[in-house]
Amino acid sequence: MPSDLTFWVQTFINCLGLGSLLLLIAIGLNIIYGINRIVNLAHGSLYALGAYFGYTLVVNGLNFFFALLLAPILVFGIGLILERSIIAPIRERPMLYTLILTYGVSILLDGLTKYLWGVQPRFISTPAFLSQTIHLGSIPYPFYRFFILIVTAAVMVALMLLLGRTKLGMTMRAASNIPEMVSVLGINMNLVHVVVFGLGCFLAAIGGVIAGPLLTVYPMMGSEMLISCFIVLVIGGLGSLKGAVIAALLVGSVQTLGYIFITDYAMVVVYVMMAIILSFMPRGILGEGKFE
Amino acid sequence: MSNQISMERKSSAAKVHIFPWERPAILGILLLFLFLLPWILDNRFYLRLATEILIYGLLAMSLDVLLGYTGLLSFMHAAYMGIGAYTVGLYLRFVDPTASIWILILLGVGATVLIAFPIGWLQVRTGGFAFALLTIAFGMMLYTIVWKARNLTGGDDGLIGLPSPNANLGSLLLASCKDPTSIYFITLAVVVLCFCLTYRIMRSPFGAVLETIRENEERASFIGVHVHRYKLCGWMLACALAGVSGVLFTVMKCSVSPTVMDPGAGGAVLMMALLGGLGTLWGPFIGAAVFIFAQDYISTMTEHWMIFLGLFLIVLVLFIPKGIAGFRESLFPPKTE
Amino acid sequence: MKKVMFFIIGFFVCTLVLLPGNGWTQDKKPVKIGVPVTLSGMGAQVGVDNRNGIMLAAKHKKTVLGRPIELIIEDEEGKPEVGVRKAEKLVFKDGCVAILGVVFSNVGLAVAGEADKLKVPFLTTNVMTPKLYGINKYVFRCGQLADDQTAVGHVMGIAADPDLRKRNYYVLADDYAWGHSCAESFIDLAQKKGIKIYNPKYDNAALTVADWSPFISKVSAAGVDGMYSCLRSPVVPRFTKQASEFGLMKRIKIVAGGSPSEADLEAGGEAEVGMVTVCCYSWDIATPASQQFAKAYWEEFQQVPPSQGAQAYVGAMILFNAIEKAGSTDADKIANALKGATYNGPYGQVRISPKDNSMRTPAVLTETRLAPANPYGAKIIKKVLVNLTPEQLGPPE
Repeated sequence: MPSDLTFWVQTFINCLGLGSLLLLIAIGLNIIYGINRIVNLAHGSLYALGAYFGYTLVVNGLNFFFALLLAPILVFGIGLILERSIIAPIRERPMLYTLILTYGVSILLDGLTKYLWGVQPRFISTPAFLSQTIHLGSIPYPFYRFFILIVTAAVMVALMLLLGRTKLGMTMRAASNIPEMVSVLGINMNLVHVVVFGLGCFLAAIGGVIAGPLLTVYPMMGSEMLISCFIVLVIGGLGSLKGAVIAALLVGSVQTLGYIFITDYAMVVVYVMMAIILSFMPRGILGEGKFE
Repeated sequence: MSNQISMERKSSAAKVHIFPWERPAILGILLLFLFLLPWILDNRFYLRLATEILIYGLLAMSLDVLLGYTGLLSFMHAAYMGIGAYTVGLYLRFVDPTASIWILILLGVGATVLIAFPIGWLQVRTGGFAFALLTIAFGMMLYTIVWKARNLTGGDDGLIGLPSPNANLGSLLLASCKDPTSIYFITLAVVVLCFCLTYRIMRSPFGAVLETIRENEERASFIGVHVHRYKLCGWMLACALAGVSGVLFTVMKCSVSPTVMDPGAGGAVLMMALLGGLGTLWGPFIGAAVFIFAQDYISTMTEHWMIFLGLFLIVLVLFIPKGIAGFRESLFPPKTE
Repeated sequence: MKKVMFFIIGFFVCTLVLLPGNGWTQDKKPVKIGVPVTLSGMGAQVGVDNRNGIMLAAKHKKTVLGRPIELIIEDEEGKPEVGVRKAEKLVFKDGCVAILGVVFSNVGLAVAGEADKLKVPFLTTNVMTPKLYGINKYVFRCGQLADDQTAVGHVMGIAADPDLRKRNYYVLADDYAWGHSCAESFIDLAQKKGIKIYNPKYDNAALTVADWSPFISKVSAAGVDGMYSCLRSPVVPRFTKQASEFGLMKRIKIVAGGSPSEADLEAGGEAEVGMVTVCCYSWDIATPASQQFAKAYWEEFQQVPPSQGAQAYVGAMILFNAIEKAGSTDADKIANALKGATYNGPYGQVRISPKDNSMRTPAVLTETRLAPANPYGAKIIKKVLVNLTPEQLGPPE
């Protein structure tokens, strides 16, 4: 059991880093469920699509930060098209249909990315200052992981401002609680749904572009991340922002520490945790439905 | 918010019959066709494919019992096929390579039921989406255990080169599983038996209670139904049938590997059941046939078969939501008053 | 009434239509070779390299027994039951006379288990498991080095270099059959030769690990200066890139038990420099045969000529030549011709040993370096350090 400071500091930041990455990617899924009541199984594929767009933009010379803005906008557009064309018609139907539909969309998107970009893993190259190794005292640590923390924090703050201070945010929160009242007040619910779905896709794509330089861009990245997202959301409570934050940190830590101390069965621990929480607290740690 | 996966109410209007002897006639022709299949097909590959379709059809049917009748969604139902398959594999490899097929079926079902009981007990206390996520959690746990127990199960290499069991009645050798035609007939016999059994059960008062629970759990408890108990029974039946399909799988393939119970397999069987139409018991067989055939055919045509499969599913949900079994209803809509 | 009958008849018609068609005329009928490889999922890049190598061989060989070669390529998705199903389709429906390819060990073992029912020769160009040695009279291996051969090559390479020899190695393996086999073969042999292993029980990494920071921190804390990686090729650039950001790559030397493919090295770029690995082929090999192959591969596929592509090329050529030598498509005759078959190709003479139906081949110990100017646009080259002979690699006969 290693006892030196370097190891423990690195591990601590590793836990935070993985947790914040999970949060960044899972938050879009959470919003779509919280407000639209749609479980979007294509979320992983949209995340991957964002990463692939980011890769193509950077490879063609665009600055990384511009790509970080542009790729999510592209995916936002795709999300709008998806919502209008295929998700809206089945919104009134039981949840089962949305599950199959979004599952089909995810297979389709995965197939398209494989067709367009091939199976080779890609790296998104970042500006030199982002990929440097900084030293905390004598402890080396990649600067990029701090960057992830910063981006996640910025996104969460922006979301809180959006939800708390703007009219759109207010509408969204009301729609998650009592949709009928909102439409009675004359607000176009269709528009709200479309915008929310697009926002979820936008956030997924940001996650993709951020994860790309770290985890590489490869065809299966979407499906692998989706399972982790669900675990985070289930533990935190679907639809709860605060719950998602806590759950992401919890899952990130358990996974990181698990890989260090029990390598083989780390994921089993995560699943057991999920099973226990679901069995006895099916609404998650902070309860479902309250979108705050 | 209702914590339940609600289904569209099955139309209570009487099923339209064109003429009175329609049902038995179709059944008769179908059974005859299935019986004569080995001679019609006369090609080993297609016969094996047909056997595989029967096996997966049984698995999809068991998911129909769970989802179409009891209203519980499972994303990793294939895990229970895996338990049945591995039990048989391990028994043949480590205990008795000459075991007869009847013992294997008993063992497979027994093991599946044994493992499914505690898991089901935990799971039925929730419902709806929480239930579905729990099936993922437990399914992944089972999958990981099978994967990690390398010394027993061979890990991802799996168990290969298993012996083919014989089907005996007393000392009379009915069939040896070395021969694909025999395997086909044994599979057909077991599947038809399971189907008839399940059909009777679903048509009984027990089945009616399950459907009541599916429609509205709260109301069912109001009229005095022990909801948890019935859900557990529905779950157990579904898992037992899945276990049978697992036994047949190992007998047919003479090998078993963790991919039979991985998340992809879990998603595939769900697709088969949905494709064929829930709530009918026979729909999933058609769903299995179409899915297996399509996947095999399309993946031969192009390496980008995923694009077509995705499109297929999207079209399915948008235009034929009740699956192929429900297609008939859209052809002959029931007469409204 | 009409609609119902229509559907019943339609159903039967569909079934009959999809039945296999009957035979063509006998002469000039192509010789069909079934090629199941992994084209989706985690082994996709390796599958593509295999497929390309085999296609190139078919293009060069053109005909066999005076008839054109027809390759029927299938995607076995890395799953054993799909592999078996595809193999059955290729043999019973398409009438292939041999099965060539297969990427993963579990698929290879499953197909090998069916060899007596399939009754055609099965030559794998990529399966590495030692369990395949002598498993069946129809099953052969010629292509990628087997796990034990890889271990021998790496141990020899480490023992020969004074800098590598003194290092302490941390062993990290992907948590699946190949990873375990790779790690165990190496550790066994290394300990016998006195090479220091930090963790003889070796650490496993689940297949879904994308963030390697826990492992990187662990390796750092262990204070080792060497690492033996049994990570599969697509994962290697990810690990090295993350590790270099932690400053780890400056302190340790990686010996890659799983030889990273050229495509993955290109994706990783500069962070991939300094890895030692053993493979049969590198486009750095200076012989005319090697350069000819590299050029042909580049012209055909516009990709950096990969080791696995060359290995699959050799395997395919040996099969085609064996069919030629057998003088017929009879399975037993081809199997007999394969025993002891040789082929002189891009990396020297490769021979299938009649003792265990597996190949004896030369190999090269390489180190990844920044590539000099080259016609393939490659940034990374596997620079040949040591040539290894078939006798050295074994296994003994």
